[in-house]
Amino acid sequence: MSGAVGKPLLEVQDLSGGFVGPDGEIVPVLNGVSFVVQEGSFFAVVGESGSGKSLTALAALGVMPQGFRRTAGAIRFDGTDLLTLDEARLRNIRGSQISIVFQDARAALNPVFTVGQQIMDVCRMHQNLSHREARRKAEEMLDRVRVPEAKRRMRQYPHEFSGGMAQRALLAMALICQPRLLILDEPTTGLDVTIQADILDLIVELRAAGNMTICLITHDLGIVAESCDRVAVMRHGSVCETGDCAQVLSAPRHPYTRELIANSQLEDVA
Amino acid sequence: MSGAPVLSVRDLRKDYDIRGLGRRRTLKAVDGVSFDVYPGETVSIVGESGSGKSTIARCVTRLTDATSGAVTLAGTPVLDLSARALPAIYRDLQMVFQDPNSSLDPLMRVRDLLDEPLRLHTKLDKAARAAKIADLLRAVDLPEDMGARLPHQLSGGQRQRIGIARALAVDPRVIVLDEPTASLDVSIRGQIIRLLKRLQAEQGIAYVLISHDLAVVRRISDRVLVMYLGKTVEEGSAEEIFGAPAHPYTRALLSAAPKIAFGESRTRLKLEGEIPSPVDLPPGCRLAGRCPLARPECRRADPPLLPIGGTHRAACPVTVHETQRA
Repeated sequence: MSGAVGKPLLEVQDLSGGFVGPDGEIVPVLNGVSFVVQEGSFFAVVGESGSGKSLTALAALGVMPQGFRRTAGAIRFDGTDLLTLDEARLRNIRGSQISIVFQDARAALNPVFTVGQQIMDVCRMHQNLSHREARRKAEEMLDRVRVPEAKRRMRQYPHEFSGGMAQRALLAMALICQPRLLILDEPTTGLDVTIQADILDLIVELRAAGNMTICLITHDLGIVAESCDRVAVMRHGSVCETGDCAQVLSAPRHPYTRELIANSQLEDVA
Repeated sequence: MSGAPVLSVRDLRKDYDIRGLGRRRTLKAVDGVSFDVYPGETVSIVGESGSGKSTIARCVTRLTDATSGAVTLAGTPVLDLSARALPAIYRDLQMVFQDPNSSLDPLMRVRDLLDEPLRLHTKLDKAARAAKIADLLRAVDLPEDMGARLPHQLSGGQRQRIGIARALAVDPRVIVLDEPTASLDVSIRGQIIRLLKRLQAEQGIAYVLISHDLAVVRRISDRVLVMYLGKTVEEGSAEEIFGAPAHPYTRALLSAAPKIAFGESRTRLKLEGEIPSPVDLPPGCRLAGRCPLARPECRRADPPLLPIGGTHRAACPVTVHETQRA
């Protein structure tokens, strides 16, 4: 895989926590999650539902769901512990340093604003741009994520976008401030396979052009094998195996990784 | 395959009228699809959103009324049955739905969910039904005390097992499975597929599997239909379709699915753009606007399914001739 891999950009260290139950006790969900995303790498966090992969990703943005309490651990971005920052500082980082693309793009977009307006908002919030400059930039970005007729599409509302096009628009929104870290949370789940393949090709291409670090959250080992260079396999709120992607997938050491690979390929169904 | 098909579908069509501002338009969701299903085999229908695969499932089971065509289930013309005669076919024809969360009544306990088809379709007394319910739970690998649970007390995989047990209750000859594993984790998916295969081997049920999951289709199908915008673009045995796909759309679909394989570079056949609107399609091959192999004549006439060999047929003169020469 291409890209210069450098110093640690995102370090998740021994992150533990859970949801507060009815009697005030904490039901653990994350049990000491640790992994390091090196600058320039294409990192994958893979696991089944309930493994804690999405929660870990949200923690990296400082957006924990209500009722979640951290009990131990740290998430460092470029050396700073994100979990100790106040909301104002986090807001400065989100969108400009770290961006996220969610699974259901049409639900992630605001239905009452045009797609163009929403992309422009992101860059106007972080950069001191005029309306006109922001519009030009947003159009350029839509063009780069290969949304045809970007100018016309800017004026459209999310419901006028297909699932694949909405996912591209969300990518444009995530990338417009050239973040150092892009988190993709199941970015192609729910899309048809041919559209999924196009979006993945686009992500690989944008990464190569922009010297970006990517952390991909997915349940699909096929996607991991085809796109990523490092992988962490999660189960029951902790990482059970991590390493070079080709190595982990072709010679898994943890029994759960082996099981996951066998199940993905339906090996034992004759 | 020997003997007579248990389910036979001929030239099935389903049109939807789109009434909006201005002129009336027609959406051809299913546009002349035919296939046979023999006892004990699995026929899969694959395709992406909008291909019409779920509409076929709904028309065959009469959950939606087809516009025209014929569906014959063990000699009975399904589409001609009156509303009064219709329920009888569900002794032989059952369906398992994609989302077990919405297809099970949230207020009914598992044992009542399983009792319902038995009360409707059999003359068994209460004790015999209770014994059958215990058998059904065992058949889908669930403990007997599950009977007292409500759907929300079950996991997704357990709910899907109940959906399958409900379909099995009346000992049907055909089960239509609409994306039975789409909402499940891979480990649960494997369990459900193994269960379906075992039940088929034990009871000789025929399956019509509607799926976009090519890994599943490859593992359990005898024959496969590939759909694009309401038409069958390719059909054949699972080996023929996966081993030597002929239609450009099938090739694109198979090559787009990510695989866990290292050292072999993937040659992807890319289609341009996205699936067009199925309303008011232009004449000619429906893929012509996206196909890298399209020729001018592709845009003039809609190509029929052409034989390649065996049961393998594809609706693409360009690749079929090339396959036959090779």
